[in-house]
Amino acid sequence: MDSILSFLPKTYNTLDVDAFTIIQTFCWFIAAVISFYFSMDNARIWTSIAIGFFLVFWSVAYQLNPFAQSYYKLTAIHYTIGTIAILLISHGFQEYFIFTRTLEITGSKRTIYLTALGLVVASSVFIILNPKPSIYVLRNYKMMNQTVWFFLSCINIYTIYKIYRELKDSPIASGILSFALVFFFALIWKGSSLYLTLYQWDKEWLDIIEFTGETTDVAQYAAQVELAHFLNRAGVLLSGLSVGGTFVYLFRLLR
Amino acid sequence: MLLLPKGIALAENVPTSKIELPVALNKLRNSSFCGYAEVDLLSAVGIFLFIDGRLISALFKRGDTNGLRDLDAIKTTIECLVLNREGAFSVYRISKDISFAMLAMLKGDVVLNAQEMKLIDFRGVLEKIKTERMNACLKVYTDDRAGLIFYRDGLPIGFFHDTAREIGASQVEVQKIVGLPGARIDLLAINESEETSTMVDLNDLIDIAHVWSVAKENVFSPVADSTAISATIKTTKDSSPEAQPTKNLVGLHAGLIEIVVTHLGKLGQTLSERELAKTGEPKNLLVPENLDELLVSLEKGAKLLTSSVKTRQMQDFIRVEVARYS
Repeated sequence: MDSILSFLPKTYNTLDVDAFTIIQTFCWFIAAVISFYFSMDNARIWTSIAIGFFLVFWSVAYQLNPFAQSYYKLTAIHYTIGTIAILLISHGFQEYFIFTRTLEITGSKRTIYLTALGLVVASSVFIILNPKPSIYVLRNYKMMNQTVWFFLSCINIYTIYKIYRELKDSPIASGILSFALVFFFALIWKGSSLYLTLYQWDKEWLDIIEFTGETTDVAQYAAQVELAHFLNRAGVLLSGLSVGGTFVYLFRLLR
Repeated sequence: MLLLPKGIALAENVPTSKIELPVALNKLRNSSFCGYAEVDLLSAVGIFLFIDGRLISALFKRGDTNGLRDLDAIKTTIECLVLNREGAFSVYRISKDISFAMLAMLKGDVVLNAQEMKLIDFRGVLEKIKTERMNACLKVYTDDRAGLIFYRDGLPIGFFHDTAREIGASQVEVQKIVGLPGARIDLLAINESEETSTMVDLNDLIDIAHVWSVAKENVFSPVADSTAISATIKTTKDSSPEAQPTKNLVGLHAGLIEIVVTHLGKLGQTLSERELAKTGEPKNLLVPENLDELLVSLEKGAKLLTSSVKTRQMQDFIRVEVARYS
């Protein structure tokens, strides 16, 4: 690509893309388009949630970004965007729960857009100003993303349950409950990914030790690794599909 | 025997202990309901007939007595319901035409009363109904069987009998009853205009919610007569808003809360109570600016609870409800 468009930065590592990566990125792209569109004509609380899911696409899309494989700072930015995404989503659901208890809505949608942009810019600046992340550091960024997602997904499922209890008889109740499914799939996705990372069975670690010569016990625990990989793939696909489906459903409920 | 046609059952034999009658009737009003609600109190029955959400007629009947109608029927049904919570509440949706014909049954002019079939010219009766384009209800009955024929502008629009599950188009079974020994007929006709908007809505004449709350508070008070009802009757449109007693507007807040709850669910009650508390007295809502402010506040909360279509519908219902009090 950089040979065609010579003004672009050079890429040093080739993109390793398989069919699954393309499918999962596409699913999240669709979810991102629907989420962003949903955020525009709805209440502020939905803006926070929708923008968060929109940002998830950008964190997933690094796999198709040719520059992300060559410029590790960009990869780190992708991971950080993913972390900011779940923070925004969780913030939205917390505000929703507060609304069900107080029926108060304050603040503007512009604040959400600007805050999201501000967080992305601030974290990007932080990463750019710091040394280029090594592959070890990148793995730490990834683990941060997975950990935050895993625990906030658990919290969000509980928050959604509490919200549902408050507005059980409202027309939107079933739409809210659909998000519980989204976070269940996200839990599987990030949980399996975190599991692999914690036990050093993830692809990044295996790539690292290929050069360092360290040994790994991944062959000993092939079944767990295989299961975790399967759950990871299923989780990322199903969470992308469920996000898109949930927002389409919400669109119909709130029209 | 009082035979009522069964339409599409929206509620059937719901224990009366589980319902609040003003809330239930308000829901029927707000949904432009056509049909009737029946309060079966074992030894008596109360009927509330709706056409397009307007409470057109009410009947309270105990045994084979003539029964009470309209305001007296509403009051007595509420009093009996408060005293005796072991009844059954049913709601049946019927078509507008059948509702109109049923109006004849409840408060139509008596054309024929308990006439024995063998003493009258039945064909002549049918011919009379047709030529005079009656809106009528013809009841044929014996000691054991009963059937109804509903007429609109002289033409039969529905048949019902005691073993039917719903109103039908077949007259076969009703004709059999006509031919039974000892069969009698009642014919009641009504000359109301077809425009239901000109019919008096009993909700405009009596604050049912207020009658209900008074009845619940004063369960063992002496039975109030019609003059006491006048204390709860809403003033006419000619009287100025300032002269209108405040208690008539108490029903406004309750009505608005009911509308919001219907559209938003349980949270709608808290939302509407909070927003209504901000507006102050009910009469403040008669000022257009205050009403607009209320609608905007409710819309903000409603956005997170329901669709924009339902929100607009809720706002329309609120405007209509407030307009009824202005």
